[in-house]
Amino acid sequence: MMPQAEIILFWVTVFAYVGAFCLHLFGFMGGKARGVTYAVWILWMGLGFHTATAIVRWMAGGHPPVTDTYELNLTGTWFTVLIFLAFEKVRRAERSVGLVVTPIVFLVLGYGFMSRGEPVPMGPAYQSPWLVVHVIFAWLAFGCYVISTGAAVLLLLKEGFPSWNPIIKAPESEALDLASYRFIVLGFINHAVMLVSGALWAKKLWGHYWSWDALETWSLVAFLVYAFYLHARSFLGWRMRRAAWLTVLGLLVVAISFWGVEWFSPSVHPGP
Amino acid sequence: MSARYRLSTILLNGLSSSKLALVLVLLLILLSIVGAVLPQEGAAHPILTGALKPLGLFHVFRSWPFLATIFLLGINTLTCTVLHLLREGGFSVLKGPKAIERVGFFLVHLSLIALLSGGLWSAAARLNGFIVLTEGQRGLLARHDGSFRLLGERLRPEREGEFLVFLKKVNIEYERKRYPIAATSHLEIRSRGMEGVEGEVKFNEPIAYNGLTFTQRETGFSPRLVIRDAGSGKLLLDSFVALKTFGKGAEREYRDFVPLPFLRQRVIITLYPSFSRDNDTVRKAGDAPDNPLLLIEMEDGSGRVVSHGHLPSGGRLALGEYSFLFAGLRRWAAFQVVQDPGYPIVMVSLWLGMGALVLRYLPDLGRWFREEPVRRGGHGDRGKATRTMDWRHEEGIEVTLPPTL
Repeated sequence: MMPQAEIILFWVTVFAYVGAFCLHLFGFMGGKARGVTYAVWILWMGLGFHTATAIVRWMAGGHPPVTDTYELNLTGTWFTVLIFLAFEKVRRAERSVGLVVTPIVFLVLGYGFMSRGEPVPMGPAYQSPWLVVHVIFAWLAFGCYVISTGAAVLLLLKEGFPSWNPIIKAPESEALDLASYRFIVLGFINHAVMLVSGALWAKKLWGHYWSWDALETWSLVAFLVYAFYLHARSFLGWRMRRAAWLTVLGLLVVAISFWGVEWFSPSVHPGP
Repeated sequence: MSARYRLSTILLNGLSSSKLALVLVLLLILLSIVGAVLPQEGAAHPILTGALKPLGLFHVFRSWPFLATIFLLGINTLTCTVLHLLREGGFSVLKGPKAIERVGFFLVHLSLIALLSGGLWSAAARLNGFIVLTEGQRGLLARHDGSFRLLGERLRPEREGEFLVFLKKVNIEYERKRYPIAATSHLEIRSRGMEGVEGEVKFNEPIAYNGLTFTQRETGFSPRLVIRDAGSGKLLLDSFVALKTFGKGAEREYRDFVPLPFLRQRVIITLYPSFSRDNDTVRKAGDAPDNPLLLIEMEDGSGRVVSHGHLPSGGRLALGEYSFLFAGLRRWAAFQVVQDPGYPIVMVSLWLGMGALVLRYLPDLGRWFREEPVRRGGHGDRGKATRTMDWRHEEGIEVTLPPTL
């Protein structure tokens, strides 16, 4: 059984993120800057509890929490929130993307909790320095893509409903488009490191650097979607709405590669 | 301008087109999705297989449309990169402002070409094998039908290109006698006319010999089972049976059927490496083989268990028409044997590609997050300087497209 402290900390984290989302929504709908500011404070608090949850899990299992779906979702959302808060510090103007980021975070956490198991020692296959590199960069990429999608969704709302009162006060479409693009670039670099570290690890562990395993393939598809985005943006001038739709599509493919594969394809890959 | 020159110009422009690149990437995405969704390699669906097999959709990643797409993408990237260099004055384009980003841009494409070449070479020239050996077993590994196969037990390799593989011992370490935390196979490999190698293979630590890599993929248990006809005493089987391992963690199970077609009933063997009894119920107590027990089940044609019994190490059991002896327990280890001449190129291209991506975007990233934020909206930005960005100049280098595009 999970230690009681871990369960308590986990649920406090989830409630903090739900609270941050409500405050974001309140601030967004009412055009209240203060609501968003409080939401960010609550997010910082949530991140503190999140960190404590991960540390308790780490201590119970004797290894970083990166070996099953629950642990991976716990670690991944931690990175997502951290990236968002770092971004919010630097670019306060586009902090309203938190409105999209926070619900994704607590939904992913909740999905992970559904498959939680007792912490077990790290199996021999996981004992590789590439594990931490591979997992960290996978989740850094995910965090960047989530924030990018947050900006893209706001852009689509702004372009789709230009006279809707809350959206009028959202950042300029150009700024959202640019923020979305930049986080895709960041995510793309992290995604590349994830794929390369995965290939190096796979060569050591399975003998092949690439096996066309379902999870690998979906991860490659997601990478190609973002490569398509970057190429279309550079060479064909795809921006704003068209780019935003592609960003949303990209996150859907990423979500399939992270959580959807196990539903319809067997994989040798121990996925999230 | 001659017709021949015009034709080659059109062909070159078409091949180097960025629109073609987008179409090819889109095609790769679609084919990969098909490959990830449809069962690959030996799929047998009553309706789907017949309809989709001619299109190669059950082996997408080895099918000609997929390989042709990769090949075309390689040609497209190569021609595009070379034409850019030529049209913009050769390597002088890599100088001046944003030189680092431009170098990164061209290296990204160079690494992509190398990656595709290495990948295609791997696909064409790679040899694979998957071998399972029980402790104390030696097998002759040889090329057979485009892959490595175990051809049976021999004492020495007889021909060039044959390898004798001897699994001496498999050691497993457990934590709390339940969870395997380390697995080491002691392997000896020899080939004709070459000095042999003897060493340890662990998960994540393969052993290389004469261009081949031996990677430990799985380990498990091989109980030695002696089966006799209960009536006549005739020996039917005396062998180590490598049991499959199912599940992980505390739910791990070791089970398989005895592959003897002449037995009248199907015999299923389950191993409890150590066990506990609770009244009549036997439970697995751990994965360390301290106190092994075999569960023998006999199934009829419909898969119903008609009789079963438990067999401790060294014990005998009469079940139906057969008698069983559990004569010992060893471990097995499975190895992936790979010879891949394309791998070094792929690895160089991956490292090059990562470095190139960093070169391409790193200078931009610093600038992006140093600049002052836009302020038009009212969501929480207070007291910051405002500036409207011209996003067209924020994305790093401008790449001049050929005039034909």
